[in-house]
Amino acid sequence: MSHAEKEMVLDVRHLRTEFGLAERPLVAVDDVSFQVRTGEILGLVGESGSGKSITLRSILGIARPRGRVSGEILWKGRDLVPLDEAALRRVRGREIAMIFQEPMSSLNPLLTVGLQISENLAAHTELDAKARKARAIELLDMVGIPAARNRLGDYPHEFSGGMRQRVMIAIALASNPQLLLADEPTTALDVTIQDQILRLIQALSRDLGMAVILVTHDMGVVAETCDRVAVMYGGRLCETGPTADVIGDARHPYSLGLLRSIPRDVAPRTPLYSIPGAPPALNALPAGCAFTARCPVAGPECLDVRPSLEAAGRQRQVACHHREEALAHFSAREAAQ
Amino acid sequence: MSIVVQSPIRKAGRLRPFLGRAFSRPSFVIGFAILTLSIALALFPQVLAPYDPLAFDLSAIQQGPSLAHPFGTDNFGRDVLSRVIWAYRVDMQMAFFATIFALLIGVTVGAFVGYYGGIADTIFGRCVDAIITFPFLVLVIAIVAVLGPGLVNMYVAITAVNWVYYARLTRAEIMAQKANDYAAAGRVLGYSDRRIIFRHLLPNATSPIIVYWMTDMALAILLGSSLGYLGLGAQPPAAEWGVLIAEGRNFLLTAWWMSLMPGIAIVLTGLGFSLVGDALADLLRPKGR
Repeated sequence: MSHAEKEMVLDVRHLRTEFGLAERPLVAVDDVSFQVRTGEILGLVGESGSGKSITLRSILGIARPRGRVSGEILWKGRDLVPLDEAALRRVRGREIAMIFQEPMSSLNPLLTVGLQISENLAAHTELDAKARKARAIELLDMVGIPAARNRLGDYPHEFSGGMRQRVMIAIALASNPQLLLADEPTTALDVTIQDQILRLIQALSRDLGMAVILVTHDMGVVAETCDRVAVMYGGRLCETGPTADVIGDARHPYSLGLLRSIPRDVAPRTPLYSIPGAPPALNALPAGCAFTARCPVAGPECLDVRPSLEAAGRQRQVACHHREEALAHFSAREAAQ
Repeated sequence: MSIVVQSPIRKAGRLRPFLGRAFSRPSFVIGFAILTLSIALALFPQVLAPYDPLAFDLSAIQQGPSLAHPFGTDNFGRDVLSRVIWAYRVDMQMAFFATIFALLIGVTVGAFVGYYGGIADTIFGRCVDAIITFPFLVLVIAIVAVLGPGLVNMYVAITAVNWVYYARLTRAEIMAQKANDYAAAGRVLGYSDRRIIFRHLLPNATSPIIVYWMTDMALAILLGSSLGYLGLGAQPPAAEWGVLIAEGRNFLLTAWWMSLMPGIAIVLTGLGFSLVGDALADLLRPKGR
């Protein structure tokens, strides 16, 4: 599977989203660039507050009007940043769809599931009422809801959490989007259901040739689902690359720390590793690397000089001044255990 | 097994179990009975009232309650029961018309302001503060005094003040609903703002508005009859409870039934609205799903 052959659908360049006063902005997303190709699943990883969700919301323009978005978001060659709401509305739902973390609250509790699916179909397709119903059944069937025909008249509270997330996916897929933005779609679900939903997203991406951006804080989810991964911290990208490479051979101290925090072959009651400290507040981001305060190998220049994303091997980019030290530091710890 | 048993109930809709729960509450049953009777009296006074409410009977002036005149007669010999019954027509109308326009205007304004926020919200907030600073009754009386007495002017005056309360309530509800993901999901699906507000957010915000409306109708009856009593609302000889009480106030010691009977009607009807409103508040409260 070679990446270069597939068509690039989304090209985000120097995305920056800020909130608050223009004089003292809170920069939630800073200089983020990445690409997504047809049929590809890109994982966007990072802890809470690292700007993952805001990145997704910026792509669809729903970070506005509170957030100010700049940079370029090239969707099939067309820049979405300067578009107004009316123009964006024709892209949203029709070409790019999004699903949310909380399947409990992302469906309207007062409308039946069938109505909510056909509402999207009515908004974005030319189908008549009968065809919409048929398509709704087909969609519910496709996302694996048993006895789909009988469940169109059911209300969201009559579905379990996992089933609701399937319904959300069915609604999102109604108008055949070419890109699905999934904002922690499995975080609120238990592990077995999580696995099913991820497999569903994978299968849909493969079968429909749909690109997916999957936001998560779970490296395990990334490992089993994504083709490529981008690690975010403090609103910036610190490392990107194919999943296997990033997970098997991380270079950035933050990714190394994240991977180190996953317990592997440890005896019961062994204290688990965690990255010391907490993520910086948006109003206290350093001029240099955002990870400096928690980084075991940070040098004096890290606080002031922003490391840029630089190529590190095939299809990989890392933003760090001290890659060698980082590798040495973490492999030494690994060996010591 | 259980699925087979459950599904027909579910397909019957959510209304039936809701009504079942409602009618198992004594307070709702009493309130509902009072309101049904009130509405019936308001719709068919010509059938239900024993006498013509405006017909003088100078041979039976200020007679106490009797079999012929259960509520007695007034100083022109008019039957008080018939006048109280005909007054239902006026007062139930007041309950409705003095609140419905305030509700429609307030809910619309509140929904937009709550959804968009920003500068519109700030301006709205100042307007609300300005209107709420005045005591309600004083402001309404002032507006009626300017427009002139009469029912229609009274509706205008009450609406001009009262919409603010609906708008405040709706604004808060819409803001709370907007925080739910399904509002963001609507945006993400490319729905228009109007569609999101009126099809998705507002229906989820209706229950507190309906509950408030019920109690507000009781207040509107009180307010309307207060204005009638003061001569600013319905005008004599029309039968209206406030007007009836005012007519009877000179004869309180000799013909107490002239004021007492319409007073009881006010209390009962107000109680009906309050009981139903209270029961609805309990029933519509979301049960932490």
